[in-house]
Amino acid sequence: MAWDQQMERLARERGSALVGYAYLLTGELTAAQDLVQEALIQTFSRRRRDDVEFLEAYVRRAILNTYLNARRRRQRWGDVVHLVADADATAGPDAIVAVRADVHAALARLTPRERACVVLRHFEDLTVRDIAAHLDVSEGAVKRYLSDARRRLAPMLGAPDAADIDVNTEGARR
Amino acid sequence: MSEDFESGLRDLSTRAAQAHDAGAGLPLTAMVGRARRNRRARAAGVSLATVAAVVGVTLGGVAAMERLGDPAPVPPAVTPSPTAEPAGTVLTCGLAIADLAVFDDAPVTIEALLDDAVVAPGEPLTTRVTVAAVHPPGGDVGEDSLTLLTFAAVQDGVVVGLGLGTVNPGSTQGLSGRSGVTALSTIDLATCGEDGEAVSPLDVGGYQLYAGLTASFAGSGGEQRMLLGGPWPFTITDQPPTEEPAGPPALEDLVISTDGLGPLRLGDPVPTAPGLTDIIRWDDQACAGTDMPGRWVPVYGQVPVSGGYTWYPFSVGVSADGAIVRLEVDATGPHTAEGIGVGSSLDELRAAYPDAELLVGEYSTDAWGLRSGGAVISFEVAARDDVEWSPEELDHVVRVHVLPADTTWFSNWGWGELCG
Repeated sequence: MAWDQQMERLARERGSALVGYAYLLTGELTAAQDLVQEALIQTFSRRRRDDVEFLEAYVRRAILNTYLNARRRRQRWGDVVHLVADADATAGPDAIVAVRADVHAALARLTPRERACVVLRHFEDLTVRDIAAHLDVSEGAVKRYLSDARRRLAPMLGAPDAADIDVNTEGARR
Repeated sequence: MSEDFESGLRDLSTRAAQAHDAGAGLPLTAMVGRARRNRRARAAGVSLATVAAVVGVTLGGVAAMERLGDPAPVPPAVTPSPTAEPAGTVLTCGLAIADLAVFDDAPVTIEALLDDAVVAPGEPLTTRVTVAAVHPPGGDVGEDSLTLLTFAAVQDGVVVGLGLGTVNPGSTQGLSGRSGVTALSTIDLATCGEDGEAVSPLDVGGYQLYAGLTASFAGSGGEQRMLLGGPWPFTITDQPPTEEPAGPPALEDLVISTDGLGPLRLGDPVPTAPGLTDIIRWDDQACAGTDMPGRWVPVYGQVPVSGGYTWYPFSVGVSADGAIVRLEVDATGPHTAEGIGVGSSLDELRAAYPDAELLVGEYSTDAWGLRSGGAVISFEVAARDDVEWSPEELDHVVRVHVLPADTTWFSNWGWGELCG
């Protein structure tokens, strides 16, 4: 299958799932769609081999990297508001947010790397070691990000103890 | 929390996917088209993705910009071979600018900001060059496009000198590499000899600097044409300056106070017309690719800042009605009357301001504040042994804010004002 056919097929069949993943990072649907679009273009601007089975993994990696790079370079005042906004103010009328305003607001309080770690750990179900490899940081750094995230999320989500966000185990949680 | 939290993540993701499905979906044709152009451009050694069909982009001897740090000696500037490009599509000695085959509706713009428009003979020009895609419809501009620029010195509309640029990749600031890229460029200009070869140095006199990029673009019918930036006037003189030229104050001379930063005052309007002493300017390309029209940026360009990044030495927050509402200093240089600024140690800060109060201590910094009147200075100190701090930064000021006292947002390390 030619690369452009692979690209169209992946976008058509897995585009929604990729947008859902990207949404957890961006918190905005349009930004998530932009992110997926950019990641797909990046991936298929380079790929030459027919390693179809790994294509989605490549795109997910590109989504993550693009998100972190963009956040480092293009933050806005508006983004900062999320850091100080309370849950009610962050929830807004968005139909997506309405389903779990608490989780959406909690994610908005995390730094980009913390957010990436939390999503990779609790949505992608990756180990600390795998997250470290994805982010090109040490396992200790990942544990630190997860620990900081847990500390920030706990008051908002009512976490009673320190075990809610697992920072130490090597294996997947589920 | 864990099960519920993970369930919440899945719910959010699912709802986002459903909302996406309910819309127009991903623009498959446009995406494939962009990827195809990227692949073509990459194959041609160009990552200027607005180029629809890159045909024979030839750099010529003067076109390639050396990267700083490259130990290879800078070659002398020479005129490109006349057989390498169609006539009028490259900047060559003796060429009349009016004769250039310029792309009228160019999808990419080239802008330059000269650090100093008056230089001595043999002294290179230092400029910040920005190559940006026009929005809409937008497009990609890769960092490599900077390496394709040619520079020319022009008098009376004719190219009389050529330039060999060097680009500092560490200073590049792209919009995720998508819409524009800026780099600090040092240009050695050489005058044209009788045989068309460029020899140095450029003679004393007044000139106009142009920058060009040769390629074929969508809409050019496959013909190679020139994307041209300029003119940017400059003067070469062997006369010592008789008086200090007017210009913005040095960063080291900017004083941070609860009033503001140097001439910038909280609550004051941003300048409505550019002046020589202004320390900020409006950059309508700075937010290309976003829904923001641009932003106010310091005229000092980008410098090393805390955290190992390269960024503007300070940022200015401006309200919708054009008033300065927040100032953030990220680089060494600006300081308070007591000498405290980015790079000062916590001990120095506490010694200078014994009454400084700990405004907030969370995340990776502590914010120590000084209140006066209706404003506060917040010194963000790298407070915890976070992975992002170098040993030299830990327990030192990494960002200074000047902001209204009624705010509660005293620290924002890891965040900042970039567009808006």
